[in-house]
Amino acid sequence: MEKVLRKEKEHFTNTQSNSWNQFEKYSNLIVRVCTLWILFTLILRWIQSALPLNYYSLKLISVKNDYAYWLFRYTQIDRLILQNSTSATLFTLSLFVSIILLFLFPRLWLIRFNAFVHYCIFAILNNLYITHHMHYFMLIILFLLALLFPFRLFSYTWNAMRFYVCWLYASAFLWKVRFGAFLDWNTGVETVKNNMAKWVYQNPEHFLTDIIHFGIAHPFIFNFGHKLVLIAEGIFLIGFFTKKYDKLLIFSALLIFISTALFSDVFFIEQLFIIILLFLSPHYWEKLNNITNSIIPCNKSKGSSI
Amino acid sequence: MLLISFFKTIFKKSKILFLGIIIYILGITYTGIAINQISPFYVWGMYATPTKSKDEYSFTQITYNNEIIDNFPVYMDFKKGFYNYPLYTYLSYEKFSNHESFNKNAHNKLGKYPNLYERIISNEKDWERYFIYYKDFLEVRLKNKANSILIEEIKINYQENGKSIKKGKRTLYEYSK
Repeated sequence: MEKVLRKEKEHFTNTQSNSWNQFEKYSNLIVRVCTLWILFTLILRWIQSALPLNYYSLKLISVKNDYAYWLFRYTQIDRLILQNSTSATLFTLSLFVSIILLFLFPRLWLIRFNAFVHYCIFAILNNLYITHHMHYFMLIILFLLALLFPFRLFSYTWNAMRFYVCWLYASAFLWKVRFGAFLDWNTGVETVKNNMAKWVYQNPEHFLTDIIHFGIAHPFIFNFGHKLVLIAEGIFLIGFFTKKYDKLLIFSALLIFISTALFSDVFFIEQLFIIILLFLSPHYWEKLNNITNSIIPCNKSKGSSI
Repeated sequence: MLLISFFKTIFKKSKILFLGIIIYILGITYTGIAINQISPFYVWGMYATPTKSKDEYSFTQITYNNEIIDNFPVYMDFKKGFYNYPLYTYLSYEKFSNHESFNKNAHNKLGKYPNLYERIISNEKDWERYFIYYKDFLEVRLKNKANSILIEEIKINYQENGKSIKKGKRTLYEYSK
């Protein structure tokens, strides 16, 4: 009887353990999809002239109270990179190459380390010189940081990142409860008035301006919508207990993104895509894997072709 | 609980990963308690305090060679950041009497070590010359020499019908060739 119970316990433990390892088969595919996304966001920045080669002429910085920024300034890497257009262009080129190499050779630790270092330098440079602590880079940095662990552990680090995103939104919700924004009814409409002032002034004829005017005249709409968005953040607490509602969490993330983009002038597209990927079940990765395998045939026993 | 089961598995599977995750959790706990972000231990506390009603809502506007250049759709967020945030920082700098009070925290901690302070904060700490730098930045960015630049702080309010009404403006910088 004892043996049977022990076997059952072992079986249960193995099943649990396997469930955390179910992305292993798709490690290459997931890393490459994320890397393509990083490349895409860098190209978006290129189009918008928001890469080091475009801002080498900025001189003034704000280090805030971030000790990582202080350390970065102490090394003077920023001065080395942004001293003139040639050095800034060379670094930008090197950043692109590091991400392309990661796409080609995701299993090589040095390549992963190289991409992590490049992206961190880029993110800190950006935040120092726009004098603002932009959070948009966070998930990409965390993804590259997770890749510094041995590649055989990728499925576990991927799950850890999923928990982090649950923490990200849940903590944003808890902060709002703790510091009063959740219980303050008018914060919704006031945030819109504050954040969209420039938009409504510069685009008086735009249909979004009409919607904002209507919402300000009927503040219940924005105040109620604000509370809905906060609840959508709070819903991420469920993610610590079960994966059953991950589709709902994707929907919540989309709701938060769309509402803040339209009514708060915030556009965290870099994070959004990775958040969605983190809540996809292996079933979807299997489908994508089959599609990529049909395009680029490979030895099936090896798993994904890309 | 899913999270506990995850930690148990990680502990069995890899002590290095377990330790890495614990260090990260300690990092975000510290920055959360201290309410001081240290990259990559971010605090997700933006908009946590109530936003109060104001008499006027202000923002900056840049007119370069007689053309408004900072009217961006929301998806041009990266570009927008480079134009707007440095100007907002300048406006917050204006409220302080000197550079030291603007960088109070760094000054308190590093003030005893002037070389270190200088190295970390900036050699170009003379914010009075801010717009000279900003003009260079605009010229490089727009790949076009400036004939005229007007940077203003515009103030608006909202009427009962929700429509905005201009309350005033202040010229921050004016340049003409």
